[in-house]
Amino acid sequence: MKRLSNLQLRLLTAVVGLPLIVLLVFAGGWWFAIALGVVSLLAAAEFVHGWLFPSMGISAVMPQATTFGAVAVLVIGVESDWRFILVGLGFAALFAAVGYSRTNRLGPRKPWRVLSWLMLYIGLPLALTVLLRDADSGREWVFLGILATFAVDTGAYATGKLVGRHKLAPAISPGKTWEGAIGGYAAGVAAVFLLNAVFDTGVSAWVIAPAAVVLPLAAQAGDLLESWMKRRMGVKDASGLLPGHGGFLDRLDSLLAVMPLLYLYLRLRVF
Amino acid sequence: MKFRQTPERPAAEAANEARAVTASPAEHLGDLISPISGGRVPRHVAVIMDGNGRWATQRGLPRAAGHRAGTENIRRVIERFADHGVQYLTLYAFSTENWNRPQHEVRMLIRLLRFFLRREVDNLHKNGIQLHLLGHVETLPEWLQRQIQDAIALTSGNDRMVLNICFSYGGRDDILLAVQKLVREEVPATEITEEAISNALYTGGMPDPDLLIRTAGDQRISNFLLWQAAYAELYFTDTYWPDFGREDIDMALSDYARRKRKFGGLLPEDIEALRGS
Repeated sequence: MKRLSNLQLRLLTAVVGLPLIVLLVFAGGWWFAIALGVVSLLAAAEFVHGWLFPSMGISAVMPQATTFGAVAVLVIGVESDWRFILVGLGFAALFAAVGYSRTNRLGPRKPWRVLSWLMLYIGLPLALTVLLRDADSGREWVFLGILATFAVDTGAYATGKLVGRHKLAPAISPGKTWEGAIGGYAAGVAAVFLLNAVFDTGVSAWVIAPAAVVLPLAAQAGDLLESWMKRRMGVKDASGLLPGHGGFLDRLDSLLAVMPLLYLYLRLRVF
Repeated sequence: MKFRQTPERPAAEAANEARAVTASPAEHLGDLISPISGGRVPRHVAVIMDGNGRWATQRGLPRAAGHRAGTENIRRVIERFADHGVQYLTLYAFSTENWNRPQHEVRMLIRLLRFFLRREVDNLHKNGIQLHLLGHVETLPEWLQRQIQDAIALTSGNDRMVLNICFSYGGRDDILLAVQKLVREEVPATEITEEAISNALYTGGMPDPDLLIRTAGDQRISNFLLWQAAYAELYFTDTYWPDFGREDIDMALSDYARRKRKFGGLLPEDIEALRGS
């Protein structure tokens, strides 16, 4: 049997993954919260198991997902639906039970520093994404965040391929060019305005404008941040969990910056 | 200043009882006096809270944002009316016809009621306000009904002001239910009096509204308190509900204080004037 090429793998993963994402965003509620809880666990596992301590068993990274649980409880408990508090508590209890007995194996690398960074970098953004989905027109807003990020990536890829000359950050991510970054940014801005109109969110172009200006920048910054962290750890892909795409963190990098900012902006200005 | 009871209250009480029985108009002019403005204030104010959606659209925000802003405004309004010494405040939140709105808007209005109850009940209780819900509470989800019952039970002993929230309320429906109730109780036709119907309404035992305010420019009664508002003074303002604040309340009340209420009869000075001519 011929082995699949990287591009074929990439497409295959997308064919399976995209409908699943669409379905989960559509469903919302419990389904979305639980799915993001699982994603936060896997992403945290990639971070600790794949980058920091490659030799360590997967069970040693379980406590990381307390991240999602604890943050979800804190953030969601304040205002949202009691059901989400239950989800958060469930995750916290589950992962704490499985994981904390082995926390000491994180050894000399200061586990609490790692844990708190994970909480900030993975748990908080994903918990805020659950809140975003739970807000008025949450389905539309989550899709807007995902699709706008997709537009930034695609715009950057296309522009970079066509006219890319000047390297953006060769030390961190050798493939990126200034031209690509500008193209991606423009595509992202246009996408936010367009999607806001198409989804009929009731928010005027003036009100959404600050988000349209900032979110594509955040997407690119999130991308670079993840690349920089990987570079520091000396790994290329976060993991092989998503064949052809690398790991969850490689797909989430931009969203981890975009979703919480989108939520906070809407919270401030609209909700 | 904490204001509980004006000295005029017993007189007004008596006047009101008299009116309930005989509908004698002039008696009622012994209204309450506002400790803030020193003017006459109505015992019972009813408000049609309109314009949340338009308020939001004007700002480029979704309608939901307007409903939220409107809900937040309720607290300010309650406090101002209570400070003026108004004893009954009835707010029209959701009509029986509002169920026909798009499903997501209905869901959101129900969510806002839950939000309001959860956030405001302690505050109401602290301020001595007694909460009632008028309308088809039984059509609401069960957990919300329980929340409502708890809130009503908690505040039932308070006497500074009565707050009626009309949710899934319709004026005709109110009258219809009252008549059905009387018929079910096999009250003979001769005993179905105005008083009997009044007492069988959701507002049974409460005085009729003296002042009915509608915000946001429209001048309609929209199936609100049809029976009870028979002699209410009507007050319309263009201000959208989320912006309807202290000054607007003070203006409405001072407008009310200038009006001559006749209840279909004549005022003593009018009679004097007629005699003189």
